[in-house]
Amino acid sequence: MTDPGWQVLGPDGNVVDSGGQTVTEASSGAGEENPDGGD
Amino acid sequence: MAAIDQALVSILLNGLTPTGAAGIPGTAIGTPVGTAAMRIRLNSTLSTAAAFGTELTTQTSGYTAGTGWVMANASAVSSAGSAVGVPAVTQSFVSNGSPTAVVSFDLTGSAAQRGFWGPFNGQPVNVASGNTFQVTGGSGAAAGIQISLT
Repeated sequence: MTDPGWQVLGPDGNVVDSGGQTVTEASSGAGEENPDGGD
Repeated sequence: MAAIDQALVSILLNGLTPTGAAGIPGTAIGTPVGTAAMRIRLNSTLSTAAAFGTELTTQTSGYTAGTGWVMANASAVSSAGSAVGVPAVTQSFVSNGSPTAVVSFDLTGSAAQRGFWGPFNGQPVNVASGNTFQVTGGSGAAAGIQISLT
């Protein structure tokens, strides 16, 4: 089964490797509050 | 805890990704990543928040160092905070075997302005000489790379 993200194909067009979607969450965690109660 | 309005997320994403006609960025926040078609740069080392990874050399076909993959089509716009998917159309290159590993990407402006970057899922992706590496194109969630602000 082929994952939707990326694939490596052999010269015959058959999938020899594949991987899932690459997800880039640019600000993940940036807005989290200080768990120690500071600013 | 989220601290950004989702409508603003979409404005920012649309201005920094190839959601305009023929792969140019949107213009709602000015043109910080240029006014020509955006590009995907492929790297054999990991990009960081401060710098590009080491770009692949020019390959047998489909990838030219210094140019990368040019986004010729518009990605579906972000709405209500949804992610933008790139590329809109599948992009590929045939490997010359040097280097054989694809590690990370940078989504850049036409003049190499840096923006979003990330490691490929499962990197390093080894691509032997004569084999093809491709990233699935599609609209929104169907595309191989998902870019979001959370």
